[in-house]
Amino acid sequence: MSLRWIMHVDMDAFYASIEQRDRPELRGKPVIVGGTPEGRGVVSAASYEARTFGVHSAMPAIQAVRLCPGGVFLPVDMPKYSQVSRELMSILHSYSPLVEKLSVDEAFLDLTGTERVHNMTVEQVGWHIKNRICDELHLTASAGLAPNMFLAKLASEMRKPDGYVVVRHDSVSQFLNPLQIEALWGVGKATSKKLREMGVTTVGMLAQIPEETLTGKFGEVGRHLHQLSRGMDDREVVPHSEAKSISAERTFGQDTNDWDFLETTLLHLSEEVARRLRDEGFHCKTVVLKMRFGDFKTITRNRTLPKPTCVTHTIFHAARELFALGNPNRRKMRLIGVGVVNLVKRQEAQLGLFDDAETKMEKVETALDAVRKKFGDKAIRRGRLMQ
Amino acid sequence: MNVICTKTDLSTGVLTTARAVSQRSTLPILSNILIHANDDELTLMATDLEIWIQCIVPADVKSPGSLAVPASIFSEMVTSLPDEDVSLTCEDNRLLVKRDPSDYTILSQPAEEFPSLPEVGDESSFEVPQGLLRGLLRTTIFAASHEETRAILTGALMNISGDRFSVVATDTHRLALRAKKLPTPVDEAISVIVPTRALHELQRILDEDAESPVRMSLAPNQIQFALDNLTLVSRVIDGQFPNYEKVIPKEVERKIIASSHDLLSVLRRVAIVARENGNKALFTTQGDRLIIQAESQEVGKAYEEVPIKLEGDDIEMAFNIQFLIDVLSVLDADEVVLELTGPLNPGVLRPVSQSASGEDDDYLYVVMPMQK
Repeated sequence: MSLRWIMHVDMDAFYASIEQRDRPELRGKPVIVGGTPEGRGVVSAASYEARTFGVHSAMPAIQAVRLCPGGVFLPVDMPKYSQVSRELMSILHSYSPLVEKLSVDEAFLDLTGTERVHNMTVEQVGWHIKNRICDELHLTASAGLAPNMFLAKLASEMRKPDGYVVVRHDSVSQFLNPLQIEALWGVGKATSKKLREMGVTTVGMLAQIPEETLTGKFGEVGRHLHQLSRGMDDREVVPHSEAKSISAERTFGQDTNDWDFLETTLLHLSEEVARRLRDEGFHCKTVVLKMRFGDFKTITRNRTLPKPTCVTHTIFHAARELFALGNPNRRKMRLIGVGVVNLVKRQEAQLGLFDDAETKMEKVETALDAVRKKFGDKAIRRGRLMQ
Repeated sequence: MNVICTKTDLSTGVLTTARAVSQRSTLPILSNILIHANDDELTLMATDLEIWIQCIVPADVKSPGSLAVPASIFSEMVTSLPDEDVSLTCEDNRLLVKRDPSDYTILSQPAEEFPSLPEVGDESSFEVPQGLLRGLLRTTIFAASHEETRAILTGALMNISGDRFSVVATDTHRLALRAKKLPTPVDEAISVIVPTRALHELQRILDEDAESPVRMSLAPNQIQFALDNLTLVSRVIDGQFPNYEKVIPKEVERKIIASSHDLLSVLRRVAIVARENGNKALFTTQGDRLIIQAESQEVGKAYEEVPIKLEGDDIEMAFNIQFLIDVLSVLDADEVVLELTGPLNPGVLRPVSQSASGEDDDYLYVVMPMQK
């Protein structure tokens, strides 16, 4: 039995790097994706140049503008990033069938035994993957190769960007022991404070504490801490990790109650969500609408559909109705979002006797997806979404 | 109320009626069976407001009266009594079940709270032999959908026109249709969608060899099936049944004829593997052999051969094996013919013996394939 080898691949400043790749004039500049120069919205990604100013993802754009007034703010171009993501995943899949996608730009691969398939050491397989991402996508990734998922993820974070850290089976404790306890997955403020009060600051020190002492103090979390401190993690890489929900949202440059514009935005978002559903081979049972008003009050409304769908139009109709009900006084909106939950796998193999309008529409939209995949997202669009 | 009846009659009535008792109702009264004694009859009734079953139990009525008793307790008690006469007496809101020397008291509810049996008039009604209706139901209603999301398909479509009575059920992947000739034509054509839950109950109740017919009566929202001692009323499903006629293939390119017994036993074995792979099985003809295979990553592989008579070219296609097992399990035919056109076109299964009974009995089962 060969040794277990797990690789974690994490793209560096994914959205921002794609923009810099496609627009050479932005290279070397602080690029901030998501949010507007007026300080609306939330930062989705920041280039490494922007990060030197302290800008990071999930930060309110208003704060990013203050920290980095010279930043180039760009809107999120999700269809483009999704396309690059698909290319990335197909590279990863050519090295191992066991690829667990965590998000658009992050995945685990189980490389156990692949040295024989690729006729090189596992460490070399890792280099190969990294180089192919660089050659084919013109983007950099940080990678960690280690005996399990927990260590691989920790390793990939060690030398960002463009890093590659390998933790060998006989050097796990060497790698872990000097780390601060906060590096461990699941150690937040409260746990860290308690541990530090116990005089424990590094992972090495934590590993010395008997399991019973930790479980006595932290319960189930204690057992978890004990295992991580010794570099133990037996989670398996689960290929095609099934999404539980899919959503998309837009923050507006200015609060608005322009109904036509809002409905068009809902259609945009519904299309984005439906397309991802179709891509991943799911149907959804429930549509969720998220609304944030000018005063930041945020509400969500949901509707369960008569039958599961992945049709843009059906999702849009539900979202539009929820919107009309959720905002009867036509108040100004700051953000709207469309999400789908209760996902079920699409039953494709069994053919149906009656093709209802919904099934036909699903076929049309799947065909449109194929056109877009081949000729780009702008090749074919709904009339309402043309600008 | 005071009545005396035999244990056998009472327990038959209680068990039949109890099948209509609501399993998950918000109305507590619906977990009861209504007992009602008048002049010389004892009637039992239960409902979940979707179906109603009322049963007449032969009894010696000393004094009339009524009340509602908890169905589960009452049926358990009645069925466990020895085979002798039982006396039922109502006192306030308690039912006394006596059989010397035993004496039980069951806390009950006043009958007034119990919803009454919907009145379905006789204006639109006709009689059907029990065996005929039972045959129609047995070979069709299994194909209906179990998904509540499409209410229409949880019912079966009954079409009665002239002397032709047909029942159709589909879950959108397969469709069963059977039509029989009525001994007496009806005056007025009827088309109604009845929940298969009610039809399953009706099928249990109908007696293949009974002399007496079942009287069907239709009201705008209900349908009633009346037998000598029993009445079943069901709500009907409102809406448009899918246009099933257009999905019945008009042309046939090849026919596979096989012994239904041989085919069924082979399918049941292959299903052991196929069920781990979405019930998918591959059907390949090679001249006078039909090869049936299934494969599952978790279980392994299955391979079987069945001798057939093939008219037309060889074909390879996949079916949900359960869909074929379902139909072969209910058909009374020595041989069946499977008519196929292409790997992605619907297949049609019919009993071969059909021609023997002439045009009085038509059966067909349309089944969509799976992608290979």
